[in-house]
Amino acid sequence: MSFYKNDQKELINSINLFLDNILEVNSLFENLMKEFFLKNYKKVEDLTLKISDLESACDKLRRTTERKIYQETLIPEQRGDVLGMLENLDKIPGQLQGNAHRINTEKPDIHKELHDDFNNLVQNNSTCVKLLISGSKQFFIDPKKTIEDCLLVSKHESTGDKISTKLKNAIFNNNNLDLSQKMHLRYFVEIVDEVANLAEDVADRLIISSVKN
Amino acid sequence: MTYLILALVLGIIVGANDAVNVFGSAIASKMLKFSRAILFFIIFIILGAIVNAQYPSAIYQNIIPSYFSIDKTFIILVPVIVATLFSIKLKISSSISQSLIFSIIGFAIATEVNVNYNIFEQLVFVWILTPFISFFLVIILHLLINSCLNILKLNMFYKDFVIRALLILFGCLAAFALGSNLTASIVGIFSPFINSSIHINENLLFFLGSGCIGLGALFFSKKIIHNIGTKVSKINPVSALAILATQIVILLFFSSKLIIDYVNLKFGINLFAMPISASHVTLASILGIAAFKGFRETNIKNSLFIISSWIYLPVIVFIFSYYLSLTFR
Repeated sequence: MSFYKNDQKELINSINLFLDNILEVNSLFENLMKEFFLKNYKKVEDLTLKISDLESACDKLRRTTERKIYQETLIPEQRGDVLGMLENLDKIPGQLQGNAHRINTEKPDIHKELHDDFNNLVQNNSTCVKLLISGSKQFFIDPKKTIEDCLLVSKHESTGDKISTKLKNAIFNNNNLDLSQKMHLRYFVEIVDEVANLAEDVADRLIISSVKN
Repeated sequence: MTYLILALVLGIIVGANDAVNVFGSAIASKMLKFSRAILFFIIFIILGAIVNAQYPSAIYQNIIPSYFSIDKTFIILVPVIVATLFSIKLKISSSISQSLIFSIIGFAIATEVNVNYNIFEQLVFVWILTPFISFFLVIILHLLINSCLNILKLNMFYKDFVIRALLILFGCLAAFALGSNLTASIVGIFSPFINSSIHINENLLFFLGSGCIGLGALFFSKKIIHNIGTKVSKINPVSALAILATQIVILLFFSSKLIIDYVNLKFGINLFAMPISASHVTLASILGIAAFKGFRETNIKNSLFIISSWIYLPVIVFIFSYYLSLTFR
């Protein structure tokens, strides 16, 4: 029996670490954007490397956890949901890592008048991820709380859509930018906003799994 | 001794037939591995047989006051063995105790031996009643277990651990309760011959009977477990716990002298220890859970097929035993 209990403990720790790592990646990306607007490119590069390392750690943790759940035939009723949740959650640090690399490499020319909206978009997406992680942690204890958090994720995702539309309008109505710049900035708005879309996808699945349980 | 060997063969068949009743739902819900479950099953079925089997065994002598001679036991056992093998072939779990009683009745009528129909009527009444009790009791226990687990607000993985531990605990208790019932069914008919025709210690007789049940479970029960566990209705771990708890309550109630004496004293009735069909209790419990969930994931056709066997199998055994008795009277 003690063998079983250690297994559960180990799994809970791995999943919590995985979720905390996603939160950390999210917070590092927020910092990265702040440093980028301040044009501290060296710091941006350092943060990109840190995000990459954490993303790899997330992948490793997810694989170990999935393997353990199947090997020990744990939580047979919910393991499909848990595995789905872990796999979809893992797309978020992946997306953030990609965004960080693109910003570090391509260094988009974001004009000062767009900084506030860009910041708002990043903040809003970050809130989405924080709520999603809180909901994911609650999924193992209190599915009702998960549903509450996930519904808030959807709400913030809609806000994110509004901010990104506003940003795109501002970009394409700016006569000081040529078309290639406009396209480049629109691309960055879309990839930053993609984080919230991914969070919403996971949240939707979590709601269904929580209702089921 | 030849007759005893026949009973031990029946024991192996019974093991294949009845292991599903104890750990079937736990294995089907993927909470327990087959090998681990069978190990617990063997240990506790033997313990249950040694502690309690003498009480339900008494029924065989009580139903035919002028008991048959030992050389006639094969007439009783052969129809039961054939019917049980037939039900195993159909991958359904049949009631050994019912088959044995109907075989004895068939024999008694053919050989014009007096039957205590009063006891027989009470037996049939309880056999009809227990599936209904199981059907409703499992719903109450399911709600109770679910509420307790919800109050504890355990992490999903700890909840999984607690359910596994409880499934093992309940499974062992159910095996203990079933041990007395099943062993009474198989070797119980030899109890009246102990120290006369059979020179064997009663505990050793029960040990051998229950040991054979364990062997049968180990080698031949896997297919039935998967059939009952998955083809009637989807079982989740909490349902598996409720099904086991129902079995424990019903089987222990009808095999424990202590409980029966207490109930008789408390309510002024004349209840007696009797072998109950664990197969019927299990299926009725699974259907109770299915009803609770609105029969959404239930295979009605398969359920009706198994329930119909509750009627035609005893009839087949009765007819077979009746004609066999006429042939060898």
